[in-house]
Amino acid sequence: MGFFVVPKSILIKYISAFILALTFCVSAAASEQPEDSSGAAKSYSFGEIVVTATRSPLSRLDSPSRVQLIAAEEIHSSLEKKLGELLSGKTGLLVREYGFGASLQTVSFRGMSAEHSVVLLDGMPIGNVQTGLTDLSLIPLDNVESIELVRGGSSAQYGSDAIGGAINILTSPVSGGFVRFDAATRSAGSQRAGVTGQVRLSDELGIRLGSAVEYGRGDFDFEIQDGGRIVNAIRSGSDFHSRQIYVRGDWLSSPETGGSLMLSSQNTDRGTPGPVLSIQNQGTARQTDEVVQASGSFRTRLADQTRLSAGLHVQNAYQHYVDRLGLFQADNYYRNILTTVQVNLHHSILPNLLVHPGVEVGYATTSGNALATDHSRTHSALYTGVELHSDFNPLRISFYPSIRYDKYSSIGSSLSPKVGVNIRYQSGENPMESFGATLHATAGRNFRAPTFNELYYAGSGGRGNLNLNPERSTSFDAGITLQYSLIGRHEFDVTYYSIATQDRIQWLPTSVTTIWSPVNIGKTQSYGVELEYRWWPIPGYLMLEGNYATIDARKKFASSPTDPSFNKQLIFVPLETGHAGLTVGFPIHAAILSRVFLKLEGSYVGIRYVAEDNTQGLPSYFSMNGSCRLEMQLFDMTMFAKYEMLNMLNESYEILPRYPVPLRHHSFSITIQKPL
Amino acid sequence: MIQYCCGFMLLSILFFQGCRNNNITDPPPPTPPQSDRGAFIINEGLWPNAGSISFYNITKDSVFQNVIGASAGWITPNDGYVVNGRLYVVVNGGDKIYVRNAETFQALDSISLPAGSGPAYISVIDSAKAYVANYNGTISIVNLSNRTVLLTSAAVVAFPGGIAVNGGRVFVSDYGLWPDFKNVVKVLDGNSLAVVDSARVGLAAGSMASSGNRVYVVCANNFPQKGKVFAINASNSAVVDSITIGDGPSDIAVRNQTLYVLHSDHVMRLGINPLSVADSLFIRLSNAFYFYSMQVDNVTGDVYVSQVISNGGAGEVSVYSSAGVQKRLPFSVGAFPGSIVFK
Repeated sequence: MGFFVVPKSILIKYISAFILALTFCVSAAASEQPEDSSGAAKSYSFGEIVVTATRSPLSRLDSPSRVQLIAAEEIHSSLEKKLGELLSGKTGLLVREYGFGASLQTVSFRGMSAEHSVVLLDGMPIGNVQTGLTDLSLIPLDNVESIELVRGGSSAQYGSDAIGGAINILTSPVSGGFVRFDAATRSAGSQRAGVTGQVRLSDELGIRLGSAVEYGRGDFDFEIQDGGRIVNAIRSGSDFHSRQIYVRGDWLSSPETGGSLMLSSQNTDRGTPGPVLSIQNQGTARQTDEVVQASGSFRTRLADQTRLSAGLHVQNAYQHYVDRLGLFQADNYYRNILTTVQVNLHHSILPNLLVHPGVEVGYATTSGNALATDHSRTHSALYTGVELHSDFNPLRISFYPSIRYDKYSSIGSSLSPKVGVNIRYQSGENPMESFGATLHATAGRNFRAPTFNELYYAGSGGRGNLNLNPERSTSFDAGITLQYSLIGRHEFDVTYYSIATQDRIQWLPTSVTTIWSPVNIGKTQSYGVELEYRWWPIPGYLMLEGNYATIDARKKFASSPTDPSFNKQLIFVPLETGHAGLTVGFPIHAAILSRVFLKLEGSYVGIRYVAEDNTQGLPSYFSMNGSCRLEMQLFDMTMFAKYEMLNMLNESYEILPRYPVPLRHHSFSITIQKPL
Repeated sequence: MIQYCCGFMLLSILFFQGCRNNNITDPPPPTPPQSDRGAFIINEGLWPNAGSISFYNITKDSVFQNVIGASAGWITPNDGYVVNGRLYVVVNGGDKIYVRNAETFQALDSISLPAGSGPAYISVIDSAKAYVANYNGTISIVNLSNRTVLLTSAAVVAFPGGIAVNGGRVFVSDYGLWPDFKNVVKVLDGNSLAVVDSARVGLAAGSMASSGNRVYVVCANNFPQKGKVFAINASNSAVVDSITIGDGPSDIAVRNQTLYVLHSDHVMRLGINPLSVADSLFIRLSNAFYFYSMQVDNVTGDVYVSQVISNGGAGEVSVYSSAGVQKRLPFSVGAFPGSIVFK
């Protein structure tokens, strides 16, 4: 598979011209003073407050774990994208896309599997309890304010699945009133239209309503090897149609007491053709997903130093997979209902000593035609975290011990301790200007509870195992973050990590070759180094960023005395990943045009072995995207128009074998927002 | 400033370019001694990766990996046959039969079956004619002389488990699909592919073998029900004998008066007239996950058994004498060695 579809000389010229154009614009803009702190780099400011690392609001620089934040501006300017596309290129993450449009997207951290990432909505688990695979393409972005990515084991905070890391999707509270309309068109016949309106009914009450529809033919161009030849083809059978509607009401009686109720429904019908076995045989399967979610939250101050928050989340998910024309005909469905209740306390014992205990109770049910009978399980958890800060100016030392006990009705219990430390040195009062150095480290035990399929499957070719134990892991990471000023502002981080898993659940044949069943036998070891770098040469106007990670993820058990896969890199896990981006935002006072944003980014994914003995692999790839976004003001309306060229280099690659992704393609979107 | 920005971006691009190391390619194909007797091991590969072919030179007791490697792009090669110096490999993913020189492994031609048919099993009559059972339930007649498909039937089974040809008639077992396993062997006219008869056997009717005037079919049944072997009179399609042979049989082979039945952890040896257990543990699995496929060398009577030794399907093949004595320690082959073909 050739890398360059265009000659390298043209590529370099292309990129150089783009960069020169960007920097020319910045030079012109830099002669002006920024009107405010907003701009291209707004979403990457220094003092972000994050909540996911410890379950408590915390400056990102005080966090014991590395946390990446995707802010509202980036999310709301990319509503035409799927969540997986937004996460692509983030440090230590691997997004696996099984195609384009509404195809399955999963994410994994630090060489782990997709089942080892916990996905949360406002701190509540929303992962798929049937399969353990959370499909990121089914998570709408319209109602989202920010997304926090926490690398490293987090079971002490979030329980099951948080072996590799946690993704917390935070919805936005209703503040102010506006109506927003957005529309987008992408290659392969993809269209999207959405409308959101919110209004304050009184000082205490606000409501937001939103709806969106998306559809696409999914017939993109790709290249693939067919019988030893590279051929051009058009993807078939991957059309999609998706609808979502949501309503959210917020109640705020005081700055510290309030609550919210949210109800959302999403329905997606899509072709899921599977791998391309030949250009004539691209698969005919279809899948329908219906997800209805209801959630409520409440928070108040119980005493001067004590705050209470509580949440309820109910998720009713139905999936129906049908393949009536394919070689392996199937007609499977299941329905899961997951109910979770959380109560959390935040108590400040001393100004520098906080505890935040909590309790979580869950009830999950499953039914479907691949299960002998319907099943349910209850789950309860007790957890607490402690924050201890000691200031020895200019040094600040913070300890974050935490522990969580989870008990399941069907699989027993698990205890997950974790300790984190953050030692921060800051040379001056202003963290935006002074030199800073932060040592951060965490160590903990984590687990993954068996899924309903692993416990109860009774369909074609397999039998669940009621005697499964949770998968367990021990994780450790440590790193240093530096912030300094030298021609603008810089932030650099290097982090070492390791994750050792045991009792990994593997499906193995029973005494009957055609009947497989899961057992706890697997062991893996994953370790590597993650580098992150951000540079704000002109804060507010220009930001450059890059990251690079090595991933050494090996199978540490032998299935037989001569198992050639022992101590080899796990399949589909890249040996390295990298990302570089340049973001520019500058004001322009021309007619209705008020600001221009330009972005160029490239992602590199190293070799992924596809054979367990590491003798076959998919080649590495480097893909680039470029976008231009215009912000306009017309009367009191704010308008955004964005053009994006994806896979600019026309790279032909596969993230997973035989799942091609589109060659160069395009996207155009427009958003109009009017205050009410 | 401009230089710094340009430099950062270009360095990033060049850095990631420098990271690109795609040296994962098939090793050069070996050149085994010409015309020696040998066995081709057809490795399905870890789906949807491409499969491969290994070659075991029986005369020289030497193994050659990837005589046809993954670069050929064969997605799930399922079955094969050697006739007239040519190796015919049925490749499910590409809906093709690839033709190779059985001595040099050089590509000669390919035969395209109807799109989406999913060729699974091949039964060769002579150097001119073969029958192919396709996963979509159809049967194809292939002219090997001019490498064309003469005829493809309508779907005659739900999901084929095996094919055998005897006395000008084609026998196709119907495995069915969970939860609707089938218990029938369809009998087709060898020229028109019209269904002329059928035989009721056990559920999940799978692998077939033909010897004398009989066709044998192994039925896995619906676990935990025990599996069975049925004997069918090839002339009148009547079931003339059957025997219960335990959990989950998956493959069958016959030579002279002996029938071999493969299970995930052992091989049974049966007498065929009448069907009777001669040795319930003829070969036992050791140091492997499970047995995967089996074939009998009709020249020597040796039994070749492939086994999987890792989760991802890494394969080995062992050779046993007709007395059940291991003659050759396991040798490595490709992933999921699903078929063994002698030349």
